[in-house]
Amino acid sequence: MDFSRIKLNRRNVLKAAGMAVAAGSAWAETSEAQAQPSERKGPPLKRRVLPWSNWSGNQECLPSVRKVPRSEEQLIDIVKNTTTQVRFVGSSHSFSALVPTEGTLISLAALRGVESVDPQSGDAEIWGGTRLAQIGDPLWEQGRALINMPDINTQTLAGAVATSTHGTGVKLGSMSSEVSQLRLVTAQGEVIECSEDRETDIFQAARTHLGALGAVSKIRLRTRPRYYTQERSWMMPLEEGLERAAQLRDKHRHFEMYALPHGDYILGITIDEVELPAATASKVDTEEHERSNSESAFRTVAKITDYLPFLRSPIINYAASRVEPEQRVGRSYEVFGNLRDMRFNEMEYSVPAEQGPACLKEILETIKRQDIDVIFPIEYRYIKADDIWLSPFYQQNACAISCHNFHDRDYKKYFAAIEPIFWKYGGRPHPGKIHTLGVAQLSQVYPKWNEFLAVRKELDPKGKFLNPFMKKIFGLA
Amino acid sequence: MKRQSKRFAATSLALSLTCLCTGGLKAAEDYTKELYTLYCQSCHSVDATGAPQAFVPDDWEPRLEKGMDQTLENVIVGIGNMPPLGMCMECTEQDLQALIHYMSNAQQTGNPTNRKIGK
Repeated sequence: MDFSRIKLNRRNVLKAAGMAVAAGSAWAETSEAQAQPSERKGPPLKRRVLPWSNWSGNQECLPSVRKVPRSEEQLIDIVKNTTTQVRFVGSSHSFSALVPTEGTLISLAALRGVESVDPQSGDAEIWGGTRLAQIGDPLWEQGRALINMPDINTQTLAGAVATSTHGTGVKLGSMSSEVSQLRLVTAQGEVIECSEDRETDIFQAARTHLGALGAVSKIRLRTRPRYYTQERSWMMPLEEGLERAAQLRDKHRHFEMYALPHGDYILGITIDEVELPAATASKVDTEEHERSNSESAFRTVAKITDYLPFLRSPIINYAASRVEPEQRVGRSYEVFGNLRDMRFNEMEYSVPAEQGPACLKEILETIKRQDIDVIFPIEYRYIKADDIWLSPFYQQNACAISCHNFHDRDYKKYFAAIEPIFWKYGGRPHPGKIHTLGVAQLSQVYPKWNEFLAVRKELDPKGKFLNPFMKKIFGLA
Repeated sequence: MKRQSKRFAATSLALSLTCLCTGGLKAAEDYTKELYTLYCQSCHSVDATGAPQAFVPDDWEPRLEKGMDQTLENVIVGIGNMPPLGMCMECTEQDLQALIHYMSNAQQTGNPTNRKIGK
């Protein structure tokens, strides 16, 4: 979810608000003031094990020990000899409770870097703690690039693979689907290398592993010759977007939409491969300014409609109708990956691809009908089917629909109203995002859930890697 | 001869310790720079994010006026759009403190910026 792609202009928002302009400005100033440090609560600072919280702040814990192994040998030693519960943390970008532990929290952040690229296959050996943003440059220097990427690039590779992190593209799978081999450090400290023809059951489980099978120390990832891409975005009437979704999906390498709750418009975004870069640095400052402007605009809408909710639709529609088409060109990984400086909480389900427009339409109608207090755009993407056991795209070309709200606003009422719609359309929850399903429902929508549980039990019979959330979703609570 | 030998040994020891300390400091500085590049630069070098900009002391002054403990606590738990720990899962309290010092100091040079994407 990238605010900067929606060039909603704060001036237009305020103009639409009419009499609320002055109030809106005052509220915006209040928002900026809130960014200043507040008074600290709690005991005095001292050297201690640092508490953990995820990116948005909806998950937290106080581990008894934090470990940051600097080599695979150290990682093996720590995992093997730790007697407490062990959880792994990537970039803390999961919204579900996959990480919290009162035991030992292990970060693979120091196991990072692109180690090599096979000149024959083009596969890249990459350490699990490598952030996606650190993969583009070294691959590019060797003439290669990732086949697809999510729009958030701050996750670690092992974390992205743990939860089937994905971008968009009807012929493109998730990050997990591009894994050709991985190294897994088990609870006993053994190292297992698995691939499509070696330890195949473990491979099918480990490509979306939830951190439940062990530590994924190194991953071999398929790549392709490096390439440039061009992104185009434009605002269109909602009905047009829903009607044209399948056509645009099939026409472009990447296609996604951002729907505006309470609005009658939807932003279309396409990304296609281009031969030559038409990059100019001179306009980028404008882009950065617009990023700030877009976020400020949404914040201002939120503040205004807190007090004048009846203005929600007119403001959104007026501002959206004045959004101009945009385009960007650059190296593929630079166009895919974007800075995320607006924190939010998120629920995402994947429904069968053909059901996408109907599902999105029902969500938007429900928001309007129930007058749900949300203005945060809804993201709509396509992902190719794969054969990974816990992938939301298992044997199903899918449409992923993501609902968000600002990190400092209540999301529970909104998500509670929307989640049953996803169930109605046969949706599968993103394992790293907010959902309320337990083992009974999960094993119904994920056909290979029980096969995964069998591999997990074999690799970790004593449950070293199980925290309360995992016990719940695995039916072991 | 014995005294000269002792003096030589003492000098050597002092030099070695100096080298070790200097080397240690250099390594610590390099690690802080590496952490900055990995975790901080993407926001603290883009003015539009609203984050205090690295190597611009004026941006940091209002934060640091509240004291290092308070600034550190805000980094640890997150504040505004600053995520907890700045998403640095390998950072200790000392690392975070070193990063605050590093970014709030005007003496740093070569404030690196991200590659630009054209429009």
